[in-house]
Order: sequence, then structure tokens, then C-alpha cells
Amino acid sequence: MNIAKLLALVQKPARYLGNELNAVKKTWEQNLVKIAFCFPDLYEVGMSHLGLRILYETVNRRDDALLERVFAPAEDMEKLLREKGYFLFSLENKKPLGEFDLVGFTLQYELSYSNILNMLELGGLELFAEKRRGWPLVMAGGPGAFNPEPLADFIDFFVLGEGEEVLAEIIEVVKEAKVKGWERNDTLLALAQIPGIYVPKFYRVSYDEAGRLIEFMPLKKDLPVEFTKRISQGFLSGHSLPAPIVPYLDIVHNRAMVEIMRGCSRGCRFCQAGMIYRPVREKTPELVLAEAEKIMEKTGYEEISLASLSSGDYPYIREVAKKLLDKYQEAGVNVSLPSLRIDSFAVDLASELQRVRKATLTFAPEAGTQRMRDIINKGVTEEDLINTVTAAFKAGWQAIKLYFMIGLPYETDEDVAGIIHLAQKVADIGVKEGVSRGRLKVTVSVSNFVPKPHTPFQWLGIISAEEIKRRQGILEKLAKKDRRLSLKMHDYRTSLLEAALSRADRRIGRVIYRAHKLGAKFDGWQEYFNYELWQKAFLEEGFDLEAYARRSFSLDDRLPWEPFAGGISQRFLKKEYRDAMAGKNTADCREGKCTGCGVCPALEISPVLTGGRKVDEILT
Amino acid sequence: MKYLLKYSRGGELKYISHLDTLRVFERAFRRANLPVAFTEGFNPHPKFSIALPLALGHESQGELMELTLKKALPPGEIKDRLNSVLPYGFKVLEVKPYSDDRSLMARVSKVVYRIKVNLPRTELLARKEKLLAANPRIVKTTKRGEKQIDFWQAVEALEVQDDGIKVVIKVGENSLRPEEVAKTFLGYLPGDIEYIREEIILS
Ligand code: SF4
Repeated sequence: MNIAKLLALVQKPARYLGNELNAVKKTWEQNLVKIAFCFPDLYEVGMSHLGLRILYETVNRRDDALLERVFAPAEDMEKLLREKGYFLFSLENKKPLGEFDLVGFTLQYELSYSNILNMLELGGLELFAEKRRGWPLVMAGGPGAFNPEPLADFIDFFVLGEGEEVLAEIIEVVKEAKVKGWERNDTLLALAQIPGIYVPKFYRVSYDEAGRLIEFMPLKKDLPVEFTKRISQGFLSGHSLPAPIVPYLDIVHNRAMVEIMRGCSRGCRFCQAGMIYRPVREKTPELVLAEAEKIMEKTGYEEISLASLSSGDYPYIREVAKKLLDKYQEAGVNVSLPSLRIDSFAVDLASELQRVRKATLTFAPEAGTQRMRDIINKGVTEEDLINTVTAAFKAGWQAIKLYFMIGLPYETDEDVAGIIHLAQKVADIGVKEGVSRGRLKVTVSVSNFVPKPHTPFQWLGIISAEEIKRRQGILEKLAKKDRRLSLKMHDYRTSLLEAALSRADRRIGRVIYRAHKLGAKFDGWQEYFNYELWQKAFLEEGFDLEAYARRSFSLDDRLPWEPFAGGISQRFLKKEYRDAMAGKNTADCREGKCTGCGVCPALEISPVLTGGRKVDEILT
Repeated sequence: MKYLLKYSRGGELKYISHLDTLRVFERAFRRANLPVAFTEGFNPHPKFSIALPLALGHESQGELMELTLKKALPPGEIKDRLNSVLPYGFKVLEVKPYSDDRSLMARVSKVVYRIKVNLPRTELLARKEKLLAANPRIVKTTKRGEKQIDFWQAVEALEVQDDGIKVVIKVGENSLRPEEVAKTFLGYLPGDIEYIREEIILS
């Protein structure tokens, strides 16, 4: 395969070079187990993903296995591959997917699912798992694996949870299978014995008319009917260092990413990440600093990002950030946090980190009224926000960005209007603090709430297209009158598809296949997204997209994704649902009291907190 | 303390852009622990500039860069330290102290390009004869409308070699890109054509 010839013919050929600084190109023959890590989006997106970098490092430091990167090719490259009859290839050794033993996809967002099928096809593999023979096995992990069913037709096995250690166990099985020449089925059966692994073909699944799960039956003995997720034990002792690959291209997150903790137990009821990555595990500040140093030494990046789901909650955030600044400031390095809490501490911290005030400061109140924020358990009051933005304007910021959602459960028009009213109050403070009219800007970014599996709102459907449009109309009308506000809203059709796929069951695999046949790809990119195409794909398989996305369940129904809760207790989710309806808040277990989400007992662990904090008694 | 660096970009790294190249160097300076000076002001930038952007797809054996360090280092050490951290494809060839106050970019007067094509020498010679006789003009559309550029005004010299041509192109107002030179010379652009910048000539 002469890839070099293609490079001269495409835009941004650096996407396909695979020879970036610190990329690992191992000798192909010397490694018994060969893994292709497929990220179903462009290089610039995939290379910004921390998980890819960690697994790259984890596998490539072994001497019996290699892991190479594969990204979704851009349109021009795809066209060339198809024209010339070349297969989609890995970046390092430029090998087609078919030559690997394992082809693994990461499921980061539902709108990348059509790309998975496209990549399998471009790689020359059969799309349907049942049609594939011999090697490779196709696996998938990442948050999407917590509802694997819509992809069950295409994927041989799924991995729930953090990949570092379970991947080592998978490699051992594959090694043995290759040495002993096992049949595909026997290999899969051996893999199915590993905790956290789900092999769909070994289960009979059926649903009733309403889409409730009525049967989830293992077809082999000793297979689980409920899956616990995996977590990485070595993460806290420095074994999860991301590969310091330095891309040539300007990727989405072009910086040294240093992970400071995993998990978040704030308990926002709309947030899937807050459920599936529990419990919280904090690295010691010493380890964070040591890892930052290692990464910086090998990369020379101009920015260090202290990454986690909610970095402001890390107790040593200030110390760590300051130490890094002291050390690297002279070399022109910035330190950044991916997310800010709504409190004045966050503003102080941001002031310390940013010498330049030209950047926008971003906060996420999520909802416009206190009633609504109580429903979603976003423990933030209007006063918190007012104090925070006052501090921000005082410190010299002139532009504030606020994130909200519409379509949350039990939302009224008053709650919707409350978004704009709150934004206006923020703008008023800007005026009061003397920000000039021309400079003052409050960006109001409003997305549409998409209910996700394993959250307290998992039983609910998304609101209708008509209703989203109507509520967006309310926002538009109110925001138009105020020139200080800049309103950004999400396309409702994208949200509907996301909603349909995120709570989908196994039957929707046929729909995804059809959509792929109709040409769906890069659905997360507005320029490619084709809603009518997806509607057609749903219809042809006997579903109505919108109705499917809107379907609600009752609390007693068995949900299609229930077997894959990974340890989260249904009882807890139901309690959270009821508390939401009652507007009752649930505290963060990091404050000392377990709230009974079920994850710790299921995994036989506890949250790992620094600075002598601990959770008293884990509820079972 | 200012230095003039000469470096090459080759192999697959010809496929990265000018902006990518700036990032490669900024990070390499940091890995090499060079005491690079920064600009003053709110948004400090490392003080270095490249004489002339190199197009994506072109190789070079003679790129020039001006670099300011906070404290003086022996030129040989700068060269060695950078070469030990630069990605394969970049190589610093020469470092020397530099004290010209004019910006490097403004000093660029000519570039020397080798353009490799797969054609017999006799044909290349014949084309050169034709071109000398024809004295063509190249029409370029700019923001301010069309302009005509006299080929032999823009191209100071054109030498036929065994595997292509070597041209000296003037840089400035009425300049031609190597692709335009090649297209005028050959009448078309072959798919396997290669561009190698050999030298940047300063005034
Ligand atoms: S089981 Fe208790 S302590 Fe553990 S994450 Fe859940 S709420 Fe927190």
C-alpha cells in the first residue's frame, strides 16, 4: 500500500503521517498481539482524547503487544482510499485493519456511531460481527459501552469502565488464543469470563412493544446477567501516564493533559459522566507534579491542563497550579483548567492562572431558576453566580459565557425565561462594575437536554421537536431585546438523534446499519449531519425517530441498558428521580456521607480522597 | 543575544505547514532548555522568526530563522541541543551570531529552488530554449485585480539539471511561486513533481 503517494493529494496530510514526536512505531513481527485503536472522528478530535493516549502508552511499553492509532479519514482521504481500493490503515505501520488481532473503538459520543461502520467498511472488515471469521476481533469501550446494545450487531465484545488493566487481561487471552490456535468463538468465550466484558452474541435479548427489556438471557453457563465496570488500580500510583505524542497539527486540545483525579460525585442528575466514572479518586499533589514534569520534559508544550471532570473540586488545585506556574512560567507556559466552579475561589484561581484577561470566563449554571436547579441537583444558587461574576468583572474580565440547558424534566416557560433573566442580571453586574458597553458580552449557550442511561432521568424521553423549537423561540424573543447578550442554541435535530441513540436498544443496530448504507457519517459535524437520512433509516426499520427518542418508561419497567449499570444501583437512581421531582438536593459524598449510589460496594472500593478527608460509612 | 539558524526540513515532514513548523520549534526550544527571550506585553511570545514560510509539500535545505536568547550560548551548543530534541525531518545545519536590525523577512531577496521532474534532459533543454524565445507573462489575480508578471523578470536564472531544473526566483512584489514557474516551464504540473528549496538569499 503506497500511502505516501496519497499524502500529496489530501488536505492536512499531517493527519496521516503517524511519525509525530514520541509516536511509537514498533517492529510489526516482534509483537504477538496487535491492536488498532480506532477513534471514530478526525485526527484533531481523537488526538485530544486522554484515554487514547493512556492506552497507547500502557500497551506500547509492553514487549509483546503494540497499539496503533486509526482515525476516521477526512472526506478527501476516504474518496482516495475508495478510488484506489486501499484499506483504511493505522498511522504507525500503515497496516490495514484486517491485519490486526484486535480492532478497538472508543465510544465517546453517539453521533460518531455511523463513523464506526464506515471505518469498518473502509478497513475491509465485515460490518456484522456474525459474518466475520478468524481475526481480528472488534471491541469497543468508553462511556458508550454502558449502553452497548445499539452496536451489539457490529462489535464482538464490549469493555465497561477504565481500560488500563482489563486491556492487559484481554491481551493475555488473545496471546493464548493465537498460540493455541483457538476458534473465534472459544476466544470470545474466554474473554466473556473477564469481569467487565460483555459478548453480545452469548445473550438472547428481547423487548416488548413498548421497548421494555423482557429477556436478557446468557446462552452459555456462568455468564453474568449484570455487569460491573472496571477501574484502574494503577491510576493512583502513576501507571496511567498519557503518551506524550506531540501532534504537528493544531488539534482541539493542544496541550499537556495531566489528569488530577477521576470521577465526580457532585451528583448533577442530568450528567452521565458523574455516574459512570464514580467513585472519586484523587491523585496526590506530588504525583500530579511528577507526572506534569515527565510530560513537559518530553513535549515542551506551551500549556498544561489539569484535567478531570471538575478540576475546581480538587483540594490541591491551587497549590499544584501555582507550583507549575512557578516552574514553567519563565519558559512561557500557561496552566489551564478545563472547567470552573461557580464560586469566587474559581475566579481567584483563574486570575492567578491567566495573566491576560482577554479570554472569556465560562460558567455552567445549567438552569435559569432555583426550582429547576434543585430538580437537577446543581448545587448552585443565584447568589453564588452573582458573587462569582461580580468577582470576575472586578478582576478585569469583560466577557462571560454561561451554559444552560432547556428541556429539563418539569421545566416550565418561566424556567426557560429564567435563563435570559439570569443572563441579564449578569450583564447588569458588568455594567455596574464599569465594563464598557462595547466590551461587555454575555454569551448564553443553550443546549437541549438529552436524557442518558444510568442517570436519574434515564426513564424520560426528550421533549418533542415542536416543543424544543417553541422554547427556543421564548429564548430568542427575550434575548433579542438585549444587545449585551449573545444567544447560541443547539440544533434540535442533532439532539433528537442523540437522544434516540443514547437510550437505544439492540433493534436500533439495524437502523444504524441502514443510515450507514444511506451515507451517514460525521453526524456530529453540522456540515455532514443529515436528519432526513436518519429519519428515513428509522422508518425503514419500522421506527419513528422522534417517537423513539421521546419514549418514556415507568420506574418499574426493566430498561434495555439496565444490565450495564456497572455497579450503580437502580434503587439509588429511583430515589434520585423522586427527589428530583420533589426538588430535594442530594449532597456530594466527598463531604463525608455516602449517599448510596452503589458503586463502591459493587466494586469493593471506596472513594480515594486526599488531605485526610474520607467517606465515613459506605452504604450498601 | 541574537542568532541566525539555518535548518532543513525533509522527508515526510514536508507535509506540515508553516504554522505547524512554528509550533515544532517553540516546543523544541523548551525541550532543549534554551533560554529563549520573550516579547514584552500582555501576551508574551518567544522571540524567533522564520525568514520565509515554506509551503506544505516543499522540502528545504536552507531555511533561515532568527532567534533571540536571554543569555549567550556558544552557537555549536545551540545547534547540538536543538538537534537532539527536534523530530526526525528537521535538522539545524548552522548557527551563528547575528546582529542585523532589519527584520529577517524584509531581507529576503531571492530563493533558489530545485524542481525535480521525471523528464529527459534534452526535453528540458528544449523547453528552456522555447521559454527564452517566448518570454511569457503570467497572469495573477490578486485582491486588487489582475496583474501580469514577466517570467524572466521574476526568474533570475534557470539551469537544466539531470533530474529537473534549478531556478533562482526573486522575492517581492512581482514574485512567482515555484509551482507557477514549473507550470510555465512544463505547460502542466506532473503528479510526482518535487520542490526543494536550496537556499534563501538575503540582501
Ligand atoms: S457508594 Fe457512596 S461513597 Fe461510593 S461513590 Fe457512591 S455515594 Fe460516594
